[in-house]
Amino acid sequence: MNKALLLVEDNPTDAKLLVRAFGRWNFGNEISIATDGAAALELLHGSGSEKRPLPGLVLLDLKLPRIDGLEVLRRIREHERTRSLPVVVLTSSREDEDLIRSYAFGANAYVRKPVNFTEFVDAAKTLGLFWLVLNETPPSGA
Amino acid sequence: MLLKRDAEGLPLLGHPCTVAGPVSPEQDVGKLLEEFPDALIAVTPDDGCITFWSRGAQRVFGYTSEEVIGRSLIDVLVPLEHHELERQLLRTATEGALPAYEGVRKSKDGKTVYVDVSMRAVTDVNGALMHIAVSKKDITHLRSIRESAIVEDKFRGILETASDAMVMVDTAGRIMLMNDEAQRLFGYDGAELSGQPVEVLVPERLRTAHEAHRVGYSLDPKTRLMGARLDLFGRRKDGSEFPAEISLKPLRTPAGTVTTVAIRDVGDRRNADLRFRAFLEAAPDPVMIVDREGSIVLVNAQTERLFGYPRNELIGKPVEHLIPTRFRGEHPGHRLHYALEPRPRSMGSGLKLHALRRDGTEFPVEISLGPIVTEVGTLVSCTISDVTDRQRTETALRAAHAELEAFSYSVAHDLRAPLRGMNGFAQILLDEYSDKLDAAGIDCLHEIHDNAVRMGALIDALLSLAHISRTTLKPERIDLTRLAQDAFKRLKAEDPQRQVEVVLPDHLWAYLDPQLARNLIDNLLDNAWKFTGKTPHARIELGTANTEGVSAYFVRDNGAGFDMAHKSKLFGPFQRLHSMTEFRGTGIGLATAQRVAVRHGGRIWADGVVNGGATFYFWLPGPPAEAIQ
Repeated sequence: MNKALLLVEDNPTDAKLLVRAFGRWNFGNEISIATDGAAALELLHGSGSEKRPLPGLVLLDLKLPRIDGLEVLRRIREHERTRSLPVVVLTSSREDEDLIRSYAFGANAYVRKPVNFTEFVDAAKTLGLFWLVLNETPPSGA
Repeated sequence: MLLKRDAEGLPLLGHPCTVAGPVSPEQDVGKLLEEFPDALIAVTPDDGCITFWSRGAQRVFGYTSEEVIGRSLIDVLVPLEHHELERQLLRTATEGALPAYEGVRKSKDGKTVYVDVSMRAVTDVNGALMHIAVSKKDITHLRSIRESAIVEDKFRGILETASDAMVMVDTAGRIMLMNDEAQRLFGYDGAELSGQPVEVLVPERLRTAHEAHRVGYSLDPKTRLMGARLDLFGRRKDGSEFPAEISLKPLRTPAGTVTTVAIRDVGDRRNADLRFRAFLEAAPDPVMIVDREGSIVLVNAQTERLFGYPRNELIGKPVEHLIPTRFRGEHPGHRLHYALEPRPRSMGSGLKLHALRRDGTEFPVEISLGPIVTEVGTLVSCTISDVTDRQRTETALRAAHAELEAFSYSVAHDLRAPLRGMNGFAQILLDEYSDKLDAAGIDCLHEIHDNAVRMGALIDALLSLAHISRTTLKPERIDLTRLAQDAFKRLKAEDPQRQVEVVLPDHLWAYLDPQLARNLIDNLLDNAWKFTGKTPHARIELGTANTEGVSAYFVRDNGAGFDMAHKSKLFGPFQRLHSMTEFRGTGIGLATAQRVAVRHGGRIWADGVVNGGATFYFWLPGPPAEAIQ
């Protein structure tokens, strides 16, 4: 149950808060951070990526520099290796449009970032418990 | 020869006449014969061929003697149906009788002439038949007057019931009878026109043509409009003219077939027509009138300008002329479809319509159609709006709207992110480093944290206010009681220690967009909940009431209330009637509630007393709550 968590987040404050929030629950998972869409895709599909294990969960912000979140999601679903990788969209957007399109592009879940840190911590617990502990993913590369 | 005359110029009576002597047969009889006013004719006794034709005969019947000498009298003058009768009479004359009778003849130009006929056989000294001498007196005028009396007895009453001017004319074209309206219309008194040719009512310049038409009509009398497609005029006694519409109807009477003529002064209608054209010209938009066949009948100057055609190049042209070629084919079908159900509507609703200028350029249009019922059938009026500018504005508006969308997106995303940081790290400090801070430090952290939370709430409220204005309404039947129950559940969960008496009807129906209905009820109940926070026995009620002449929904509380002097400020965004320390809030809630009501075409208002509670009413168009099932 040592599945890694990939955080795709360009805002360092949010990234730090997420790391802290997950840290509170001691899931003990490795957390890697990609600060833009291109970096995230490099990690998942780039050279040598086939030797690294896939993360157990991708937390994906939508508004990202270079390649935006929806495009990242589209390419994750397009790529054979990451087709069934769990991706949770974690965003501050309240636009219905973003919600609709995220699911259309194959997101597994859509969570709005709470402003309140206490709620943020609760959200991290729920997400970590479900996706990193309870959820079973197909064998890597399947 | 001079006649003695009295002072008024009339011949004196009882005065001995002074004459030079009797007429001398050799010199004067021939001349006298010529001057007799009646038609004097001689025919051969055996076959009735004309041998003598007096100047009087020429005056009465129009033929010169050269034209008729040697021809059969019957052939020349007698209408076919009287030929047999005429032959018998000639025969009786040859047998020595002196037939005298009244008959009908045709003049050279086809007019009917009523005549008083007398005949006598003329023999030579040996008693052999030489001629039949025939005298024919034109009694058309006299007869009309006589027949008028008969017709008048029988028809005057009926004629007076007609609202139109009515004139009865005999087969000879003489006026027999005019009703009061006709006398008024033409300016004549009583029977002064009896026996006169009807042409007296026609302008001089049209009389000859009229006589010819009248003869044509007498050959085939039937009910019809006179001179359809011609401009007809009547002539008044004073010589003035008026435009007229005239209908003719043959009528059998004891005096023979007469023609009833109804005359209507259409001067008013022509004025109306002129007014209509003036109205068309004054219309701000280009207007075209199109007939059933799709031909352009009328256009205004605005149409000329818009399409670049002078009007003489448009009138009579098919309207398809103004449509780009690629759309022309389908247009006649649309036109026929419209003719089946003509009513005021816009053309091709939902479609982008294009029009074609003379120079070949196209432009977007909107066209409204309307039927105009006229005597010549249903015409269609087309009002054309060039929507080039509007489409440009719409494009600009859409761009501005998209920009606004992008702006609210970035407000939502970019402004909330730093707030999350402020809130989050303040919370982490409070959670993990409290032991390293004193009470004042901890209080500062609480301030940072609370302000960040409040700003987040403000941003959310502003976004939802903006959302109400741009969302598409999908009203449906909504139970407001259900929404209120949800709201109270939420409020009680947030404030579990509070005791509030909630009064709700079993159901409270309204037609509203479900999303916005929730927004409305949430905001009004949040408001009531908040302002009853310091009231010992708080009570909040939802229901309907008749107030200000309408059936309105209401949310009533017994909380802090407000001063009616400030009621205009209640619904403005960021307007607050209480200090933040008294009651917290964004100042957006009631503005949001108002916007929901207004977006649905309704309104919202409030009643309140300081420390006496407040009632918020909202009214929505459509059926009242009790009527929604």
